[in-house]
Amino acid sequence: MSFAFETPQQIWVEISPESQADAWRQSQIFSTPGSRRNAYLNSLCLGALLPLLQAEYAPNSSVWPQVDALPSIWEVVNGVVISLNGVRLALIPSQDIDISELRAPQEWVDIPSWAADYYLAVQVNPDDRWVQIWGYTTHHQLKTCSSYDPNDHTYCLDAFDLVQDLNGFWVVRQLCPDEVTRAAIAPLPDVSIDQAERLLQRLRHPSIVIPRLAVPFELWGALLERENWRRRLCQQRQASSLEASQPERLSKSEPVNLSQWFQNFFDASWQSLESLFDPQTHLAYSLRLSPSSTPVDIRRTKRICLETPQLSQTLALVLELNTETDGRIGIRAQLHPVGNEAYLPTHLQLALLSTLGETLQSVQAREQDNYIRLKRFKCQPGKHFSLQISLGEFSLTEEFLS
Amino acid sequence: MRPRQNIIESFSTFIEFSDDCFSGWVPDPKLQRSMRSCLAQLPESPASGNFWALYWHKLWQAKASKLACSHLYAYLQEACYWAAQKTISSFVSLQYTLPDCFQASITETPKILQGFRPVKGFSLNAYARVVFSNVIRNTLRQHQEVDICTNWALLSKLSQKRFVEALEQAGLGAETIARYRLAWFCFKQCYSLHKAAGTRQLPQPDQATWQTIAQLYNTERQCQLTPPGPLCSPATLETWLTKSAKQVRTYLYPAKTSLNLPKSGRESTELQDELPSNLDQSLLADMIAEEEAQNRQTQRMQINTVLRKALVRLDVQKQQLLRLYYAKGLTQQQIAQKLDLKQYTVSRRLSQAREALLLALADWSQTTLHISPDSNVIRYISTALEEWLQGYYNRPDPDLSERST
Repeated sequence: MSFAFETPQQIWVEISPESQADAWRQSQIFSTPGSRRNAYLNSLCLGALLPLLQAEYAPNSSVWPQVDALPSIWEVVNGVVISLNGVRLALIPSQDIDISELRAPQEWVDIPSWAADYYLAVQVNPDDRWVQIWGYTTHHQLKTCSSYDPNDHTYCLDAFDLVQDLNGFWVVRQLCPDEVTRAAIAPLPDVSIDQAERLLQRLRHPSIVIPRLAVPFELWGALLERENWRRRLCQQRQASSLEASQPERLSKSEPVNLSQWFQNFFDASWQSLESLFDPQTHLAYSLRLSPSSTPVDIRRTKRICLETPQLSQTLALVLELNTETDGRIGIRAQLHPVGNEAYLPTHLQLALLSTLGETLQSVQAREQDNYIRLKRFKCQPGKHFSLQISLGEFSLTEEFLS
Repeated sequence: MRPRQNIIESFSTFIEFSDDCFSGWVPDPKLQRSMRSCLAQLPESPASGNFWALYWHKLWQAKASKLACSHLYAYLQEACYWAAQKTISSFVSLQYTLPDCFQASITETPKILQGFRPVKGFSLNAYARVVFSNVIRNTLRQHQEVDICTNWALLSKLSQKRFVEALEQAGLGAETIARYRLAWFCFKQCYSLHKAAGTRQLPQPDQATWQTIAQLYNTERQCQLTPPGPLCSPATLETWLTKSAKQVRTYLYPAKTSLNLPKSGRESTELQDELPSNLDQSLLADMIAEEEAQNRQTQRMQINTVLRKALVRLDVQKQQLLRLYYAKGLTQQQIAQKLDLKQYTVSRRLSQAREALLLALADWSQTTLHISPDSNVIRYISTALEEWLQGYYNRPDPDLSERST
């Protein structure tokens, strides 16, 4: 049915099953149901439309500011900007079945470095797997003709006031490249580091479901505009939501029973590698993980949230197990960065501790290490040991029963 | 349908249906008198509907004249009829009748009057027809979607605009609507999609989700509602949202009310004060001057030449696609089946073909009419192109029908 009502004035693009699966998986690390949905729709939208723009209009179209900044944006706000020969297009996706209005978040309109020239209304249909650009408008039009909704800090423009002919967009760009697209916007206030720290402290908890509405816009805009603050906000929110959903992670009572792993019983926090890494990086890990001739029977990973006053980062603790001929369990433990971070924090330490808490062996990350691992060790079944991850004051211990 | 015969009829009669078909034009006596009096005052006036449409539109803009609005309502009946007729004939399987579609879109007339900017050379009629078509298509698509969505899916895939409209139509007060809107907003923030697809079958939120919705509502009400109102329990919110979903369904998918159409625009009793109408001489003088300067007839011929040339320059497949779409009235899906192409390919190529034509027309209006085709203007050029394509491919021309088979 999807195409029954379509006209050549709209732009239609198919979503491939693979990119849908990727978008879904990547969206699951976000902190709230709303932000997960937001990340999912935005990533479907971008995945379908960027290749189209590159193939048919401007080969050098690229995501602004860069692809790895997107998670920190989608954690808190809807939309993505593509820069196309110096012209900024904001794609504003929505799942709404009635295409009756464009709702552009204030961030894309009133943060000076974020504002775009054009705003494209995008309808995403994950069920039938298509994306449609159904109309567009300019920044100028949004600032002068739309209504501002103070409830959710959004500029709303009725469908009737959009140009509902995307052919028109390309024609205008060719014949009228100098059209006035922008209206004036007020500068945002300076935010001191102290102030930013206090805001970040407050907004990091996912119990603040909609951080963008929790502070006055000017302050919020100024915070968001600074990339490092925005990234920290996002990482902290995602890390704390993970903590909240997996409270058992911190409990010291129950050691992880490794012998059960051989019967396919896993604690929910220990996942397969596929669930944590996307296929490409996963491949890279696999290569690193099985360099030797040692057989690997089981490979599981657990997400670790590293939190220090200076940084917050998600790590993956990976365990590889095999049964030795003498009945002992062979264990190799490693730490990898997850998500967009390529490297581990310098001086991050992974240590193997005995039942009594003595350090048996340890390894520390140097600058730009993309993983660290302990020497392979073997345990008799039924023995206790623990792995400790530490950096400065941060320390986390995982107990195991082999 | 029998097209209306003269200017007086065009601006004073309303369509009537019986048995889901056109049955005739019903005159409104007051509008008739008004048009007669106008024509009598201006015996030399151009006889084109477009001239009078622009006149009433200008008057409506300048003075918010109800009389002008009513004349335009009457005038746009035909555009709406053809839009409805064309859309419905493309979809054999629809359970919607012509009057249903007509009714769904004629109510958008005020929006059309608001949206139309009289840029020279482009007609209100063409603009209206394109907008009516869009409205009908969107309405039908919505209906299909509403049919297969659960209440919760429907609520999660709805614009705020429609949500609020639905509650307004149900007669709820502003304060209640504000609360329901906030409840709905919180629902969207807290309710997870469970799978990558299957967003139409979203189940009822579980108890934990209702708790988080209520928590968020009770926080947000402090800044999003004035007055914030009482604390709400999960159960209350569930009741509100269930009720809203029902209203939305009714609103987006009204029970059929064919035949006795509301007489939209026929507010004759309110016109009393404005009659008898005197023509606004200064408006008229402007328009007649414009009319002469432009020499519309020549313009039309030039447009025709420009577009025919651009059309011939398209590759054979694109020409074929345009023919199938505009002359045969096939949907893109049907074209894809017929030519054994992917739907997306059909969509892209049709779009490219149309873009080439639009570029030619915009380029012409820039060089000849000295209109700079910016984003505000392009929509009128776009409707002019649409009008031309419809006319060109549906003209009675034996050559064309032969070639297109």
